[in-house]
Amino acid sequence: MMHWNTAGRIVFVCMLTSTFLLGGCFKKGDGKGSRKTKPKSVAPGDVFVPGPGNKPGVVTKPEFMNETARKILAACFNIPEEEVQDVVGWNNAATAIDAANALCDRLAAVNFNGGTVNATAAQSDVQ
Amino acid sequence: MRPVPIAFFFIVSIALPGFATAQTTEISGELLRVSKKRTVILVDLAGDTELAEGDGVRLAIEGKTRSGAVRSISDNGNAMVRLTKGLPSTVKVGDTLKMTKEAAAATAEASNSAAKSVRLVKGFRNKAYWDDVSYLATHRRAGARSDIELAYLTKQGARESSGGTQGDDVEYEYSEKSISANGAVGYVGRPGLGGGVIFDYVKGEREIAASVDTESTVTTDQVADKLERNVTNFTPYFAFLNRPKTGDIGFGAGLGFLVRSTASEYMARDGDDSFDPEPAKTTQIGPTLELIIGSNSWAAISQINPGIKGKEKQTGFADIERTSSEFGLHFETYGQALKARVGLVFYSDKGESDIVEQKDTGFKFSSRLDIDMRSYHIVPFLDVANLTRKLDEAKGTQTVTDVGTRLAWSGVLAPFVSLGVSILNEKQSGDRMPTQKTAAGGFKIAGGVSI
Repeated sequence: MMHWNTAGRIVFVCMLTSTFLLGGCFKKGDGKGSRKTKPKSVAPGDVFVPGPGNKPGVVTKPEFMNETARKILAACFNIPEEEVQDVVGWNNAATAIDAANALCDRLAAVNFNGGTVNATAAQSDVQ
Repeated sequence: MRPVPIAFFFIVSIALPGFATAQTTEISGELLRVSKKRTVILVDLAGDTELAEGDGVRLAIEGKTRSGAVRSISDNGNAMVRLTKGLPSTVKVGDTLKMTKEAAAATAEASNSAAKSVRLVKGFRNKAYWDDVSYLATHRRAGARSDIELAYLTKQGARESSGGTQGDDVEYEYSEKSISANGAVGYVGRPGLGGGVIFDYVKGEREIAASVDTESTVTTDQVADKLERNVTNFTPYFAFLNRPKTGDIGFGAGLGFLVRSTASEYMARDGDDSFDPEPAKTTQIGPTLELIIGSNSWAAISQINPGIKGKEKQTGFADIERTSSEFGLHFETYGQALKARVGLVFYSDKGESDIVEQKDTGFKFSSRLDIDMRSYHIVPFLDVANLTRKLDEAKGTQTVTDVGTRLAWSGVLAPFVSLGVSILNEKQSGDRMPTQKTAAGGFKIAGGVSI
């Protein structure tokens, strides 16, 4: 029982010390501030936040598009994959496969480039 | 009765050769307690000792002999012995007792209680008294081990954001909290072969928030971000230990395989605008090696994680290919009532993709004292972890200091509790971001049970 009492006193002292430190040393920020201009877009996280797109600076340089989307567009336009970027341009939305297919559909509908756009590019065209 | 958590280990331990071998070995220990009738004594066994619950023992005291049987043995080597005749009155608490194990009784008992046998090696430590780090060193005795620990952490503080393209001058409220669970199940047999698994799980979130006035547009916006993060570590391992006999050098080697998964979700708000990207996931796998050498009074442990590989993924962005390495050295000393450990682990990580290059370097210093109060242990600790990350032109440095005390009770199903203060200091700066200084501190409480 004596040991339990001793242990209890130690725990009590530790908690008191911690409470003191919490209240004194680790004061919460005042939650206020100012800036000269508003940012053009909301900034991503910081260097320690996981995720390639959550790091400062990276969001301005998105991956052009993933490999499958690039193959779909190459088959759609009947052009080499290396030329897809010249046709489509840098566009963050172009990273999605659905966006690539939708773009093919729209271009075919307007008879883009003399009707060379293949709106019915099959999966086999991508392989 | 010493519980064994997994039936498989129980079966294996019975099958292992050497358990049922009767021995007549001199055993010594310090007398800790004597009952009123002086027929029940508690002895702190010394050195490398093989003794099982139910073993018969014979004491030789000042020309007299006493015989008895071991009723129970605690995890830290205290044996409760019931004598057939009372201990002579001249023997006092603190005296050293010498006894021998009676071969006949040992043989009979060992045939049906192999799993209860204890081979004490006071050098190798117990997780309840220390924590973390090594899967070899926690096997201080032959047989099974298992433990589980739950922890809660809360921090609060401030993040000062200054400069940058917007000309920031903001002091954000910073808050962080997490719950974590970690544990281990393992077995090392008498030949010194065994293995087990260590697991960790952390669920945490961090928030910053402030009300920000913008001079150019004369507006006041609520600016905040929130990061949720789940981390799971899973490390199965195989181990070999050649435990030291008294005065000898022992050694061991272990091979583990780390599987780490981090899932995180980040969201930022600035007035009516938001940044709410896809969740990010990081997976890393790779080998971890441990080597230990030591005696009953010291041990040196090295840890080498030569190449933990993985990817940091987020939809819409090229994967970051990550390779990390760790090298750690720990040194421990074991006194009768005071044990100590210091350790230093170096860490490096390189992450690359088509659009980003990330380099991490860091270290973790840890120190422990283990003060043996007989029925419980007091373990004050101080840990300092430092991480520096270079991300293209940006750079961040993070230091986390943990200081506190662990209390661990002795015996079977022994509980332990840790109380501590955790302090975060962080600084980030770069071309595309304001300079951010964060200082936060808080309280961490952890507790669990060692079986």
